[in-house]
Amino acid sequence: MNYGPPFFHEPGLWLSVWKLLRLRLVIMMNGFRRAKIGVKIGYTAAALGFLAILGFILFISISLLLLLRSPQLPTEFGDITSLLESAPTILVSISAIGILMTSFSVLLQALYLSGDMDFLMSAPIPIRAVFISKLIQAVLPNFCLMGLFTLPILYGLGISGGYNFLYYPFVIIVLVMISLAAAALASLLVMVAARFFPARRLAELLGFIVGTGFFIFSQTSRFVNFEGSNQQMAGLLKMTTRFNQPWSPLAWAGRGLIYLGNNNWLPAAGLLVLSLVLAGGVFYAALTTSERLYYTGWSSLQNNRRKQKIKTTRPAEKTVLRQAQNPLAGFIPAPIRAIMVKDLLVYRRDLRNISRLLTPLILGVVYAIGLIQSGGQGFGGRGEAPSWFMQAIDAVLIYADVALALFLGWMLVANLAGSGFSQEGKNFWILKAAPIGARQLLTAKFLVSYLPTVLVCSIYVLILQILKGGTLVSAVISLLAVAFALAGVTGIYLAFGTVGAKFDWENPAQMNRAVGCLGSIAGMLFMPVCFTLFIAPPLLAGLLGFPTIAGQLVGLLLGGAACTAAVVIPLGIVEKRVAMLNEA
Amino acid sequence: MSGATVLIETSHLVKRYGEKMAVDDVSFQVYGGEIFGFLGPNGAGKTTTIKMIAGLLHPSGGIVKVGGYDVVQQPVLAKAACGYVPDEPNLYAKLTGRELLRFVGNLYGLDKAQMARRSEELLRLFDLVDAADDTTDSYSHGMKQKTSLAAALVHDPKVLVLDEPTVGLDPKSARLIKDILRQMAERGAAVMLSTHILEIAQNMCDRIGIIDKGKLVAAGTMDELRQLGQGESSLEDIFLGLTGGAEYAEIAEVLK
Repeated sequence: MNYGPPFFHEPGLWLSVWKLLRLRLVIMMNGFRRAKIGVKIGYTAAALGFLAILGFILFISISLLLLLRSPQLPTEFGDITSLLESAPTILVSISAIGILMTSFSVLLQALYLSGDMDFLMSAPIPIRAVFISKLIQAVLPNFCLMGLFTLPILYGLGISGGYNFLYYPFVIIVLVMISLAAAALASLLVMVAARFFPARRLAELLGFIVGTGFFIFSQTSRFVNFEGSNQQMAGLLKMTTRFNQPWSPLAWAGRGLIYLGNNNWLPAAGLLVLSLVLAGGVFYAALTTSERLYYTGWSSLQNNRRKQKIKTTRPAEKTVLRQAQNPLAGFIPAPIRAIMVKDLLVYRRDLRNISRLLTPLILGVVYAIGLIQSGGQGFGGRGEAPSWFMQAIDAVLIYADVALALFLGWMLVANLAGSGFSQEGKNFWILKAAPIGARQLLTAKFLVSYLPTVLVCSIYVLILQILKGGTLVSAVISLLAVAFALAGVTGIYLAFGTVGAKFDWENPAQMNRAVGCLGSIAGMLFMPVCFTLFIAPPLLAGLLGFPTIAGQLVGLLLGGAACTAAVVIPLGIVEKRVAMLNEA
Repeated sequence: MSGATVLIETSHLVKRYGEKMAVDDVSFQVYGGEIFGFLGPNGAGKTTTIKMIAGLLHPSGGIVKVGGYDVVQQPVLAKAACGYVPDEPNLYAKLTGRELLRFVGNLYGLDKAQMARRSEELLRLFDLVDAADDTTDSYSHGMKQKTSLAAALVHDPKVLVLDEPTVGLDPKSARLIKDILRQMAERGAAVMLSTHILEIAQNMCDRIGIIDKGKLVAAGTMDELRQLGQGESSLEDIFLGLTGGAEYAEIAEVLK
C-alpha cells in the first residue's frame, strides 16, 4: 500500500480560492437546478428585478445629479459643490461600515456554525485560501446589495460631472478593497468575540440586538417630526459633510476618486495609492491574525465563566420549589404542564424567540402611544359624511383598544401557535416516544400559545382602559372579547401549524413557515370577522335605541360562539394528524 | 425463553416509502430478561424497525406490540412501557440536563418525589452531576448520549430500545451502558439494541437478529446463527456471509 499521493502538487493560493468559490457556485447552481419551478421563476424574477432597480437608480442618479449641477440651483439653495464632492467619501464610508457590521454575523456563521471548517482546514490547500474564500463569500451578497445603491450613484456622479474614464474602474477597485479590508476586520472581531462567548449564543444575541434594534428604530421614527424644511435639510447636508474629514482614510479614497475624475493626477495618485495600500495592509494584517488565532485554537478556546454563573444561580432545590409552587399544578395534568413549562423555558432562553415575541410588543406599544396621543377621537372629516356614519365611526373607535389588543395578540399567536409543533425541531422524538395522546399534545400546545398571549393582551387592554378612563363594564367586556377572539385565532393557527409542521429546520426562521399561506390568510380573515361579530351588535343597539349593554352581551355571545367553533373544529380535524407528524 | 414474557413482538411488520420497501415482513420476539441485538448493514432497515417499535413511525402493515400493547391501537400504553434511545441524541438545547430529566419524568407520569430521586440517581450514575445545571447545547456528544439514555431510564421501563447506543462514547461510558443494560435484563426488562460493533453484539446479546434489505435474514442465539452460517464461528463471518461480503475483497484489491 502506498502512503502518499505520488503526483500531488501543492496548489497555489488563488487557484485554491477559485476551487473553493467554484464549489459554492456549483452548490448554488445545484440548488437552483433542483428547485421547484415556482422557486426558479422567483429567483429569475429577483435577478431581473435587481438589474431593473440598478438601471432605475442609475437613471435617477444621473437625472438628479444633472439637476444638482445646473447653474440655476446655487442661486436658490447656495453652493452644493462640496456636498456633491463628498458623495464618494460618504458612499465609501457607508460601504465600509455596512460591510463591517453585516459581515460580522455572516462570518460568525461561516467560520463557526457552518460545520465545514474542519473539512476545509484538513484538505491539502493553503489555510489562507480557506479564509479568503470565506471572506469573499461573506462579503459578496452584502457587497452586491450595497453596490445596488452606491455604484449607480457614483457612476451617475461621474457621468453628470463628465469625469475621466479612469474614474469608473477605480470606483470598483476602491469599493472592493475597502470592503475586503472591512470584512477582514470583521473576521478578527468574530475571532475575539467567539473566544469569550459560545458562537451559537453570540449569533442569537446578535440576531436579537440587530432585529430588535432595527425594529425599534423603524417604529419610533414615526414620532420624529421631519418635515423637510430648509433648516432641517441644511442640517442634514451639514451632517453628511462630516464624513469628509481630512484625517479619515475613507475620505482619502473618496477625494482621490474626485481628483481622478477631474484629471488632478498627482493628488489623485497620492490619495488613491495611500488608501488602497492602507486597505490592503489592513486586509493582510487582519487576515493573517485571524488565521493564526483560528489555527492556534485561541479563538475556539472557551472560558468557563458562564458555566459557573449558571451553577450558582440555579440550584436544583430552587427549581423543585418553584415547580411545587406552580399555580397551574392543580388544574392542568402533569404531562401537559410539563410541555408548557418546557416550551416557556425554551422560549425564554432562546433570544431568537424573544426577538420574535418582542416585535409585536413594540408594535403594540407604538400603536398604543399613537392611540393615546390622538385621544381616541374620531375623524372630523369635511362634514360631508352622514351623521349616522360619523356616529358609527366614533362608536367603533371606542373599541380601538380591543382592536389593538387583538392585533397584538394576533401577531403573538401567529408566532407561538403557528410554530407550536415545528419549534420542537429534531427533538420532537422525545414527545413522540412519550405516552401522551394527540389531544393532550394539542391542548399543551394550545395553552402554551394562548395563556401568555391572553395575559399580555389583557394587561394591555386594562392599561388602555385605565388611560382612557373606561368603565368597569367596558373593561370586562373588552377583556372577554379579547380572550374569546384570541382563543379562536390560536385554534386556527395551531391547526394550520400542525398540518404544515416542519421538524428538520436548521434556521429557526423556517419554523414560522409551518402555517403556510392559507393559514396566514385564514388567521388574518378571522380577526376582522370576529371583531365585527363583537362590535356590530352594540353599534346596532345604539342606532336602534336599545341599551348598549344588551348589544354588547349579544356581541359576546355571537363572537364567543364563532371563537369556540374556531378552536374546536380545526383542532378536531387535525387531531388525527398529530400521531403521524414527522413521518416521511 | 419459552417460559418468559414476550415484551416486544413484531409480526409481518412492513414499512413502505412509496415504491421502496424499507422493512419487509419482519417478525421476531424479544422476551423479558434478554438482550436482543439487531444487526444489519447501513440502510438495511434497523432504525426504521426500531422507530416503529418506539412508536415514532407508523407501520405500513403488520403488528408491533410493546409490553403486550399494540403500538398502533394503544400507543400511549405501549409508549409508557418503553424507553427509547435514538441514534442521534437530539435534546432540547435550552434545557439543562436536570430539567430535561424532570420534563421526561413528567411526561411519563412520575410523581414529583419519585422524579427528583430518580433524576438525581441517574445524573450521578452517568457522571453528569457537574453538568446537570448547564443547558444541553454545551454538552459533548458523549454527554448528550448519556443524557438521552438517562432520559430513557427515568421511568424505569419494562422495555428498552436503543439505536446505536455506544456511538461516540468513551470506553468507560460504553462499559457503563453495557453494565446497565445487563442489569436491566437481569431485572426482567427486554432490551433491544442495534449496533455496528459486532463484538458488543457477540458478547452482550442473548439473541441476535440480522436484517438486510428490509428482510430479517436470521434470528437466534450465537449457536443457532453458527448453524445458519455453515460452520462460520465468529459473528463477523456469519454477518458478512448473510449480508454479502464480496465487495470487501474488491476494496482490499484496490487498496493494495
